[in-house]
Amino acid sequence: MFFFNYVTRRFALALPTLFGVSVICFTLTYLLPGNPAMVKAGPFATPEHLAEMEHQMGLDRPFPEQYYRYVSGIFKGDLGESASTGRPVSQDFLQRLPATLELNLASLLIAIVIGLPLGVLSAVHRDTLVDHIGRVVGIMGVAMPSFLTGLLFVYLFFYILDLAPSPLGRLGSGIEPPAHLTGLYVIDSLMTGNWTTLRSSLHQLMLPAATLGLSAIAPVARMVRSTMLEILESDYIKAAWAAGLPRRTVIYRDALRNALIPVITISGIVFGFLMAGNAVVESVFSWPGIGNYAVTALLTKDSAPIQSFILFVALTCVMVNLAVDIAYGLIDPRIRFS
Amino acid sequence: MRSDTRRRDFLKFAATSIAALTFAGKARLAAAQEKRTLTVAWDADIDTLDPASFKTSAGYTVQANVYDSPLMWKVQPVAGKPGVSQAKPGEIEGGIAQSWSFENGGATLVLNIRKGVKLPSGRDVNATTMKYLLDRGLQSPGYMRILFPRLLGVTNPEHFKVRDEFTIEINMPSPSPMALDTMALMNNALLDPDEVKTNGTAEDPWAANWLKRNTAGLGPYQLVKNQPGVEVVLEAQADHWRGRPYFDRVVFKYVPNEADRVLLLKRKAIDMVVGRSTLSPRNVKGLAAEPGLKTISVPDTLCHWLCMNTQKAPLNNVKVRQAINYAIPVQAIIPSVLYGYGTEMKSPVPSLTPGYDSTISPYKYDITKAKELMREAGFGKEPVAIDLAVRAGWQPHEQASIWLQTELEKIGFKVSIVKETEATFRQIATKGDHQLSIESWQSWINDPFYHLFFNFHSTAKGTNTSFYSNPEVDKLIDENMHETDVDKRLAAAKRLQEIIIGDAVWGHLWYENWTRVMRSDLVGIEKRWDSYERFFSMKLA
Amino acid sequence: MPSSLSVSSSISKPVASSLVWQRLQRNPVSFAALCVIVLIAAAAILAPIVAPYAPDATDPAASLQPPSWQHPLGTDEFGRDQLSRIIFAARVDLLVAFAATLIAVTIGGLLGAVVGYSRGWADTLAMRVVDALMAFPAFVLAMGITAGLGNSITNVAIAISITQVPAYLRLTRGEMLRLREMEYADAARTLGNPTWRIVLIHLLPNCLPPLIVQATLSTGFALLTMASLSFIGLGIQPPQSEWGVMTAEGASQIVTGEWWLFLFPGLAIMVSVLAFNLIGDGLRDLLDPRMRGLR
Repeated sequence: MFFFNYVTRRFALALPTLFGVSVICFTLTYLLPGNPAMVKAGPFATPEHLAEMEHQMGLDRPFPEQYYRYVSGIFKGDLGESASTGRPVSQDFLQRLPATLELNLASLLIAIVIGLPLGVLSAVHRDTLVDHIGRVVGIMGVAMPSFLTGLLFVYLFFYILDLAPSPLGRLGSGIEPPAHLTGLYVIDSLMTGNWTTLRSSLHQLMLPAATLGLSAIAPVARMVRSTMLEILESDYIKAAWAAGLPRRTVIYRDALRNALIPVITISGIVFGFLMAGNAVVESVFSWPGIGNYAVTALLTKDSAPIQSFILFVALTCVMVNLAVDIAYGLIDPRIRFS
Repeated sequence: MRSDTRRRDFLKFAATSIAALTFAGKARLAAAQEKRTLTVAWDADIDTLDPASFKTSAGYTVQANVYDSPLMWKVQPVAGKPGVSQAKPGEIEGGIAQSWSFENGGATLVLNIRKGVKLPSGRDVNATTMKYLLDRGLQSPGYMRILFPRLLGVTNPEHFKVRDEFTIEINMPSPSPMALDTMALMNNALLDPDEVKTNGTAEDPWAANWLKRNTAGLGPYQLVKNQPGVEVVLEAQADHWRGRPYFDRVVFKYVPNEADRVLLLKRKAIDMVVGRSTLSPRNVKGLAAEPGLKTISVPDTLCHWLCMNTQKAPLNNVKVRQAINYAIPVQAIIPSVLYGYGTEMKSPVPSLTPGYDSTISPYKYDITKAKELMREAGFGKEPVAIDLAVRAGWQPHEQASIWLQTELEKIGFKVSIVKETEATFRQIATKGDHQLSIESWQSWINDPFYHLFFNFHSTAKGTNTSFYSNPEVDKLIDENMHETDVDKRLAAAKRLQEIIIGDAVWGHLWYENWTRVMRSDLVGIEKRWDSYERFFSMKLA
Repeated sequence: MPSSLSVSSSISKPVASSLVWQRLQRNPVSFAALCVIVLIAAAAILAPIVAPYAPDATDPAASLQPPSWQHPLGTDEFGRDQLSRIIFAARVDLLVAFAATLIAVTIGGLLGAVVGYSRGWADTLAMRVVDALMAFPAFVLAMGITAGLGNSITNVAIAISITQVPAYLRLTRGEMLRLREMEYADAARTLGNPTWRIVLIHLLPNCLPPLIVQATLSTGFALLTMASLSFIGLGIQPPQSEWGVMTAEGASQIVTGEWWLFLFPGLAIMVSVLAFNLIGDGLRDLLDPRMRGLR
C-alpha cells in the first residue's frame, strides 16, 4: 500500500513535467522557419491556394489555439501526417520505434559491459597507470564525433575487410522480419526460434550499436569509478580491511555490489542520451529508426514528425527517470517514506 | 546476381567466425534472387502515390514505373554511348493512347486509345477511363489544375469529350504547341475510375487521401512494398502492353548517407544509385575508374544559376547584375565543382530546348570589365555587403558559392555565404528576402515558353525567383505561349533571350548533365525530359 | 551530454587555488591535458601569426594535395591550407564552447542560487521548468533551437548554452539548499547582511567547485554538439571554418581517399574533448574532499 502511494505520488510529480515538455516542444516547432503549407502545396501553388491550405492546416489560428489543437490531437492519438512519407506520424512511429529501441538497448548493453569493469579497475587502481589508461580509453569513445566513428567503421569493416554487412538497415537482403511480438528483431527471432533472422539482425546491429555504445562508455565508467571510490572510502569497507578480509573479496563482493545501484541511475540517463545520439548514427547506417526520420523532417520543416520525435524522446526520458525512481523505492525502502 | 558471386568468392578466403555468419545469410539470399532483381539506392521517401500531386523524387520515380500516361516522350539512342537513349525535342510516342491527330486547325487533339489494355481489376481501358483521369487532374488539388488552364487553355471538364469507345477529344480554345508534351506528363497517369470512386468520400471525391498510399492504375511495374525509411519494392506486370520487363523486381534501398551509397556501389551491393544529386560530381568522378561500374552522363535541361533579386538594391541596378555576370569564374567551376559533368550556361534557356541561342550572351570571365561596370554603377569604393544563400548539403552549390565569393570580392562586394536548410531557403526565397542565391530549375516540358514563363513572367509568383518584372517580356511570353507558327515562336524566343541576357537577370552558371552510376553491364537506360528512371527498359547486357 | 550525472553533488568547500595547482601537477594526465588546451588556445589567439597561410586563400593549382612540406596537413579542394584552417577554426570552436558554457554557468548559477536560497513557489516553478528542459536530451534540444533560430555563431552558442542551463541550475540549487542551513549562513544573517549579499558573497562562491568541474566537462561536449550539428547540416555558417564542419565535409568524402580532410580536424575535436574531460575528471578528484584523503 505504501509502495502504491509512492508510485502514485511519483506519477503525479511527473505530470507538470509532461505539461512543460509539451509546451516547449510545440513552441520549438512553431518557431521553426519554413511554411508547412508551402511544402504541401507545391511549387506552382497560387497565393489563394496557399491561403486555403494554411486555413485547412489551421496555421492561421492564434498560437494558444494551435497549441490546444495539438495537445488534443495527441490525446486522440493523432500526431498529424508526415509530408515526406504521406502517412500518419503515429503509423511511421510505430514502425520505426522498435528499430531505435533495439539499437539503444544494444548500445547501452555494450556501454555497461565495457564501462563497468573499466570504472572498477580505475577506482581500485586509482591514480596509477591503469586508471589513467582506463579513463583515456573510456573518454576516447565519447570524444570522437559519432558520425566519424560510424563512417570509419563502415569503411573499414564493410568496405575494406568485408566483415560487416552492408549498412542497409536492420536485416540482410532477402531476410524476412520475424513474427511481430515486441518489434525488436533480436528478441522476436529468439522467441520464435528463427535463427537465420537472429543471426542477420545481430550482424546488422553490430556496427551501429558499437558506434553508439562507444559514446556512452565514458559516463558509465565515470559514474562507477566515483561510486566505487566513495564506497572504498566508507567505514564498513575500512572495517572489512581492518578485519583482514582478502582484498579481492572486499573489492568484488562488498564494494562492487554496492556500486551497482548507481548503475541503474546512469542507465536511465545514458538511455536518454542515446536517444539523441541515434539521430546521427541512424543516418550513417540507414537504420530505419525515429532519429533519422526526425533529422529529415527538421531540414524540410515537416512539423508533425519533429514534434512527435521531440515529444517522444522527452517522454521516454521522463518515463525512464520515473522507472529509475521507482526501482530505487523498491531497493531502498527509506526513500519511499522520506 | 554477379555481386553475390563476387562476395562468395571472397568468402572462400575468409575464415573468421563473423564471415561465417555472412555465409548463412547468403544461402537464403541466393534462393530469394532467382527472380531477376535490380537493387538501387536512393535517399527519399514516397510522399504520395497520387499522380496529381507528388513532390519527392521517390514519389515521381515510382509513379513513372507503376503508371502509364496517355503519351510518352520518345527516346533515341545516344550516339557514341551504347546502352543509353535520350528524348529529342518534339518527339512523342504512343502510351495508353496508341496514336493521335489534330483537328479543327490544331485546336482539337484526338487520342486513339490502345485496344485490349486491361486494368488490374480486369476492366478494359476505354475513352471513359481516359476522360476520368483528365477530369480528375483538372478538378482535384494538384499540378494539373494549374497546368491544364495554363498550357492548354482548358478550364472545364466538358473540354474533354468522349467521341466513341476508344477515342477521346481534347478541345482547346486555340491550338497549343505544348498539347502533346502535356499528355506525356506522368501527372496524367491512367487511374481505375471505379477504384478511385469507391475510395473517395464526400469531402474528398477524387480520393486524394486514398491515393496517397494506394495505386489504382497499370504500369510496367506494381508497387508491392512501401516501407518508408527502409525499402520500396516493385514487381513486374507479366502482361503489360509493352511486354514483360527484363527485371522481375526492382528494390529501392533507402540510404540517406552519400558515403554509404558510394561504398555500396563500390562493393557491388547495389546495382545503381538513382535520383538527382544523390551522388556529388566529385564522388562520380571517383567512381569513374572503378572496375565493374560505369557512369552515364548526357546533357540535360537542368539549369543552375546565380539568382539575383532584381527588386533589391544593389541588384536592382542592371550594371551591377552585368558586372556580376562578368565576374563568374565559370571556367574554374565546371572542372573543379562539376568535374566536367555539366556545361557552361550561355542563355537563360537550356541548351537542349528549341530556340536556344548560345551566341547572344556577351558574358565571359573578365574582371576588368566587371570592375568598370561596377564603377559606372557608382560602386567599388566601399565594399558592398551582400548575402549569398545556398542550401546546406547541396554540395556543388556550396562549392560554387566559395568560388563566387572570391571573385565577387574582387569587384567590390563583401560576400557572406549563408547556408540554409531546404525549408528555410524556400521560405526566404518566396518572400523575396534573398539577395544572391543559387537556384536550379528543370522544365518538365521542354519548351522555351514554358521555361521562360515560370522563370521570368511577372505573374509566375513562387517560381520567378529573381522577381523580374518587365512588361515587354510578359507580353512576348503571353503572345507566343500558344503561337503555332514555329518560326515566329522561335524568333520571339530569341528576342526574349536578348532582353533577358541584356538585363542580366540570371548570373549564368551551368547546365547539369544527367549523370548516373551503375553496374557496367546494365543497358537500356532511357532518359526522358522529366529525368526520372524507367526500369521497364533496363536489362543486363 | 547529460550533465548532472558527471558530478557527484557532494563536492563541497573550495580549495585554495594554489593548492589546486599543486595537486593538478601531481596528476600528470590532467596536467598534460591542461597543457594541450593552453596550447590550442594560444594557437587560436595567435592564429594570424602562427598559421602559415590565410585560411580562406584559395589556390586552384594546389587543390586536394596530401600533406607535404608546403602544406603539412594537406589542402582541400579549393587549395586552402588545412593547417591554417584548423588553427583559425580553433578560434570559432573555443569561442563558441567557452561562450556557451560561460553564459550557461552564469544564468544557471545565479538562478539556481536565488531559487535555492529563497525556496518557495519560485523554486517549485524553476524546478518544474528544469525537469521539463532536462527531459530533452541536449542534442535534440540543440538541434531544434538551431533549426529554429538559424545557424549563425551566436545562435549555435545560444542553443548549446540553453541545453546546459538546467544542469547548472539544479546543481547550484542543490548546493544552496544545503549551504543556507550552514552555521556561517546563520552567522551572516544574524549580522544583518542583506539577502543578496548573503547569496552572492557568502554562499555562492562555495557552490563554485562542482560548477567548475561541470563546466569543464560541458565545454568538451559543446565541441561535439557543434560537430554533430554540422553533420546534419545545421553547423556554423561559412566563411568561419569550424572543426565539426570540416570533419563532416571530409567524412562525407571518406571514399575518395583524401584521408587528411577528415582525419586532422577530427583529431582536433577528439584531442580537445579528451583534454577537457581529463581536466574535469582531475578537478573533481581534487575538489571533492572525500577523495582527497584517499590512499
